[in-house]
Amino acid sequence: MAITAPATLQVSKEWQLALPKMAQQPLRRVLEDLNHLWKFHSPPLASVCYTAAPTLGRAVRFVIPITPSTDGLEHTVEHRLLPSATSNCQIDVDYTTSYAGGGTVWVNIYGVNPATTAATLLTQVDTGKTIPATARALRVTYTPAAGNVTLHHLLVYPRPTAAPAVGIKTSGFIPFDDGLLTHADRAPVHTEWLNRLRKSAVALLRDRRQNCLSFVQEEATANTRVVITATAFVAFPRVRVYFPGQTSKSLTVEVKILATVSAGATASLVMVQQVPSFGTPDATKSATFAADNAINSATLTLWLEGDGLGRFADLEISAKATAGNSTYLLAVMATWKPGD
Amino acid sequence: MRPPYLRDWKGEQNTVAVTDAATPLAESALLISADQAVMEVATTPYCGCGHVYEGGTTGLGDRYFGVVVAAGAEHCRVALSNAFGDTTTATTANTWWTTDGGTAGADINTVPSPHIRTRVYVPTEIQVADVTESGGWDNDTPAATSDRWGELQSLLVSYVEAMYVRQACGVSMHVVEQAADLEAL
Repeated sequence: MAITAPATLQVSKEWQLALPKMAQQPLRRVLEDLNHLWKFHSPPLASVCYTAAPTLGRAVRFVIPITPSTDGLEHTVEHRLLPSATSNCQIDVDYTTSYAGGGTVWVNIYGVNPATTAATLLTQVDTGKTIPATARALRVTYTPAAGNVTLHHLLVYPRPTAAPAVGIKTSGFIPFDDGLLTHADRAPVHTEWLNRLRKSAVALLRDRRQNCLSFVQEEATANTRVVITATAFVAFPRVRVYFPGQTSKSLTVEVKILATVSAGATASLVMVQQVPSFGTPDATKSATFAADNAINSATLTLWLEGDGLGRFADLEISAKATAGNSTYLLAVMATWKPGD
Repeated sequence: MRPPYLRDWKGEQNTVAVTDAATPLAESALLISADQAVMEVATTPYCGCGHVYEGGTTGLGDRYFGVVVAAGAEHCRVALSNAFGDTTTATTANTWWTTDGGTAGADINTVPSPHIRTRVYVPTEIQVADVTESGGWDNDTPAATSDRWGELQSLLVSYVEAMYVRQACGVSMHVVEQAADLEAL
């Protein structure tokens, strides 16, 4: 009896499905593919191109709102940065279950101190890092030991290092143990297995939210690269978000933002809206947020354009300040759960 | 032959069981339906994340990033966000590449810019901001830099494609072509 997760999808041939024999295959192959999905269904939890000044010779820290899997999965974390010196760069990743500005309780996930080569991109890949289901934000800190760094990208995606353990998962996924299918002639009725294939596959799909919009800059307002002082909304350049194959006319994403102000009122200072490729934006397709140094969230319904694999919506982030004050937009993260 | 099937995940079909009979007939249609659900989840491309960031300004022209690619993908395109001020000057084109497609010389993809303006970023006032999609033609052996599809590894497992873009202030990647036959991968 074993729960095995093949390293690649096992594709049954058309004739094997249409004319199956009274045997283990192809059913066993498909059930093992479920276990493969557990390990390798890896939509990005966070994919962030940092906004920060180039060539920073100090500690650089970011806070990134997240909505992780309910299964408390191991993740792979990839950092891309360009160092100026042949030295080292300390990288620390923490999480919190509740962001509260300077009073946040951070729990360290891991730290690593890779060697850097001058003027050579460092791609630091760290595997097997567990992010609990209760995590609501990541904090990532880069500290070069010498010289400076230009920070390019952070990628975090679910990637369990082992086949799923026995038992029904919080997400609803049920792994496949081959014990009952290995006997020559006394395998049980397959009804539950057939339903498990769809139920478990969709459970994974719905549990692992996909990051579809990101903007992150340094948490410390003294270092924040883009500071908004205008009292009318200032728009950041729009970006195109793709939802391949989603032919329904609309879908819903969840947007989380973190912003703060130098002083004054905080209400409705950040806006995320859909911008159609033709016509003018519609106020009903926007969400506004307070810049109160807390992670605020809202849903946004998008009306999709394009077709097939190129189905998309253009999104625009805007921010404004109250008179005489500044607004610091620290993070915008939107995620999509297929089916929403 | 088994091409990937692109499913719209919005709808009740996600919660409907393959069969609700306790002892259904041993029909191949049930097996096909169950198998298809797993293959669709595995091969539906992940959403193309829109990355918003300061780019194209001094010291921030280059951007390296990675994209997780679902199984069965073959080619991609990118949508590039650009922002310009009101100063007239020769604007350099966006360039981008995927590691799988090649990172130098003729393998580099070039997306021309229609503007003759300086690149700026918030809070500097932006006069023109647009989204440009990269080219829509398939050429895996270009003789010179061109505006073509990006190449991906066509695998039966998800993986990370390392990518690069220059002079943009926003980028998203989406799969534009999947493998014609998953059995052949």
